[in-house]
This record gives sequence, C-alpha cells and structure tokens, in this order.
Amino acid sequence: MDEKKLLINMSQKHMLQKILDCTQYTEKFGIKLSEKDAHLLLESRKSSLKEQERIEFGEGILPKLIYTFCDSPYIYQGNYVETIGSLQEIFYLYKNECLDELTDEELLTYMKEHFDGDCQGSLEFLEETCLEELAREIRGGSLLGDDDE
Amino acid sequence: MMNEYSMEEILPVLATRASKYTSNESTSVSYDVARQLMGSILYCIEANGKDVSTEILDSTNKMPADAAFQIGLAKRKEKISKAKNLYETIRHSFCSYQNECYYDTVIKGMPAFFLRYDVEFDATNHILTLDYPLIYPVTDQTGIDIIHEYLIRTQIEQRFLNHFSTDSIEMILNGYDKNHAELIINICKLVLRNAIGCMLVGKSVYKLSISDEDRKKLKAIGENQPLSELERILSSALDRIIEEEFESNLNLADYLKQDIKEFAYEYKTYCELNKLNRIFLGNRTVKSQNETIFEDGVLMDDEALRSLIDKISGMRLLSDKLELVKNQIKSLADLKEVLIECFFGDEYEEVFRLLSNEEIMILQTEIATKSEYDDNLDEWETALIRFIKNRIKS
Repeated sequence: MDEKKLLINMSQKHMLQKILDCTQYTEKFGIKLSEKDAHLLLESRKSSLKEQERIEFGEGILPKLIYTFCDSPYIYQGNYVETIGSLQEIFYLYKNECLDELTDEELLTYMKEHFDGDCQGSLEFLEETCLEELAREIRGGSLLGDDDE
Repeated sequence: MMNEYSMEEILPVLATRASKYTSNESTSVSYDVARQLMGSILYCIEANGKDVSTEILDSTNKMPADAAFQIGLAKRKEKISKAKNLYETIRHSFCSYQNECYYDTVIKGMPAFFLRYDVEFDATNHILTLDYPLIYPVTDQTGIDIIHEYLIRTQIEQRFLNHFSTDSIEMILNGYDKNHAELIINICKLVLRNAIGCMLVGKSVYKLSISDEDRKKLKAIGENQPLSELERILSSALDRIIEEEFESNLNLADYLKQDIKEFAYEYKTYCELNKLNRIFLGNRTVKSQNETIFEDGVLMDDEALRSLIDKISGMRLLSDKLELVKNQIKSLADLKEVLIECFFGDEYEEVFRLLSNEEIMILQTEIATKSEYDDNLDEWETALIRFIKNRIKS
C-alpha cells in the first residue's frame, strides 16, 4: 500500500471512530449509528464536499453535527441517518452560500434553532427558506453590517 | 525545493494553516482558499532554495515540510522588512516628474501593498498591478519577490534620473507630449535616450534637449548602419556616460543596457522615416506641431462612405478610381478606409501622388506611432513607407 492510500485510510479510520464515539452520548436520546451507517455518512460527506468544492481537515463536521442535532424532537432512529446525511449536505452548501462568513458553530446553531423551531423538522423549509434568507442577508451585507456596528 | 515534498508531506502543513486561517472555527475551506493557502506554503518553502541548515534535517536527510515552511516564512518576512526599508529610502528622494501613473504606483500603491500584503495566507498575491512600466520589467515573479525586485529597479532608475535637473527632464517630457503627465511611459528611457543622443553629438549629457541641428548629426550617425553596429555605437556611448558621469557604476550600466536593443531598432526605424524627433526629443512636440498646422477635411457619413467604397471597388480602370478619390474624399480618415478596401499593389503609389507633402507627413507619423505597438502594418502603410523612401532617393 503506498503512503498516500495509507494516509487516507488512517484518516478515515480516525473519522469513523469519532462518529461511533458519539453513540455513547446519542443513546440517551434513543438514537445510534451502526458501523455501516457511519460508513454511509462518510461516503455522503465525501460526495458533498466534492460537489461543494470544499476541503475538510481533521475529524470533520459530522461529530459536531450529531452532537448538535441528536436531542432534536424531530429526529428518531427511523430517520436519523438520512436526516444527518441531509443536514451534512445542507451545511456544506450554506458554508459556501454564506461566503464562509459564519463559523461552524454559528451555522450549526442557526440550523438547529430553525430546524427545531419554525421548520418543525422540515429539511426543505430549513434549506430553501430559513438558510436561503440568511445567505441573502449575508450576501447583501446587512448581517455583516450589523456586526460592524 | 517544493518538488522535493510529496502531497502527503504538504497536506498536514495545509491542514494546520487552514485551521489557523479559520481561527480553528471551521473544519472545512473552499477549494479557492485551499489553493491560496497551498500557494503560500509552496511559496515560503521555495524561499529556502538550497540553503538548508543541517541541524533540522530528519533521518532521511530532509527538512520536514512544516519546518521548511516556517523557515521559509521567516525569510519572506525578512524580505518584506528589507523591501519596506528600501521603499523608505526611495520615497525620500522620489520624483514622479508629474507623471500620474508613476506617482500612483510608487507613492500611493506601495504603502497600500505593505499594509495589505498577507504573507501568512496569501503570499503569492502582490495586490498591485505595478502599472508604471520599467525599462527592464520584472516578470515570472510573484508576492514580495516581485515587489522587492520592482523597488530595486525603481531605485536604479531614480538614481539615474536624479542626476539630471527636474527642469531639463520635464522639458523633454513636454517635447514628447504635452499631456505627458497622463501617459503610461517610462521616463528613464526617454531621458537615457536623449542623454545618449547628447553624448553622440558631443553635447553635455545634462542638457538633454536635442535640437534640429543635433538631429541632423544623429541622422548622419545612424543612417545606413546595420542594426548590430548601431547597437554597438549606442552601447559604447552609454558606457562613456556611465564612466564619466556615474563613476563607472556597473550595476547601473548593466540595467540601462537592457534598453539598447530596442533603442537601436527604433533609432534605425525613425532614421529611415526621417522622424528622429520621436526619440531624440527637444522642446517642441511633434503632436502639437501637427495639431496647429494640419486640419483634416470633413468626414463622410458611414452610409455615403460605404457606397463610395462599393463604387470604387467595382471600377476596372485605375484612372476612374483616382478620379473619384480626388473629387469625393475630403479627409484622411476616409482615405484610409478607401485605401484598405479598394486599392492594391502598384495602385497605392498613384493614390499617394494625389496627396500633399503635409498629408503624407501626417500619415507617416501615424504609421510610425502604430509600428511602436503593432508589427502588422496594413498593405497600404507598407506601400507608403516604400513610396517615401523612393521619393527621398530620387
């Protein structure tokens, strides 16, 4: 195995472990991921990053995403993997759409607040209405202007 | 140096830089940012060249990529500070000779560069477009390298210019164009060429201004000389200037010699066109002379011109074509259109015979200006140069 492949495998194993480590915490909310689910999410991460033309380092956003959303009343074992996968996609998309002006923490907090609030668990509403509005404000400079003041 | 590192060695450095770039607040960055960060890393590593301290080499006798980056970054920062000091020295005695582009590039642009240049995360972006052209342009460099080199060359040019009085420089700039302040031209080149001209005719180089009499002598010197011989003559005149007036400053001589090849070519061309006043400048401008003594006739409207062109193109006999040109065309601008579309080969000469000396001179000047920027002359333009040459011979 060449050095490059070895490096990728090591990094993937590390990420997989980090995701599985979340289970201990999420079990409190009645949801958990199998190793197969974690693999699926990592695959979806890869394609989302490619599609959004982004590069991710370290353990990535998935563990943070899981910790943030696991206590949502709209997530249960039946839709857990699918919802986390979609949230991950939406997250990368809006990192770009918000021109990287928001930190991971800020974007995750906004997403969670609206997902549990006015979206009532609707991913479409979150993406197409709430986040779109936020991105528009950032691009228009009104949010950034507020910060400056 | 950068090729010594594989992607696997560079990637951990990129991850650390990305984390620092986002203040550890984002796990991912866009491709554009990653590219920018990677460019900065490679640019800094490149700064090490082959100069590597043996103390930090690893077991494979190679400096770890992160250490190479950190050392390179320190070197780049050192260069920024060197460039800043150099800029301060230049600024102290800098004169733009009223040229707006020169002033904007050096006095307004450089401080903005030092304020905004980001060696940590965007090291290859030197921000400025460096619009003021140098005699010897800096190419193939980026980041602080290009700025530092640009400043070194600016200092050489300023040192040369500072030897001459501002009045005499501004006088020949006025001779070049009354709107010289708005032009993007290299002042050092104009001064150098006039100084060499003065040296060739035996005048003090500090006079700079070249008179009509001087130009006649310069024509005699340059006429019928092969290009290589002209280069040798100009080069040795430059050597004499450097030896007599600049204490044999070899650095300056080497720099200014970058212009000799182009200068010789232009000298020869303008000699042939009998337009040496375009490179050996005096008080009076060619353009202002033209503006005062020549007034072009009334332009035809587009439709009328088009139909005239079609009519002339359809004629078989040259005499008929010439008759129409003589009777219907009142301006040189219209004539040029007709020359491009309706005449060819030996016919041009007959059209030129219809023109006054003054009109021919105007066209000749325009062709000379065009040839400065564009090698591809139209067929009629080449024919006109040939026509003028033949007329001079006979």
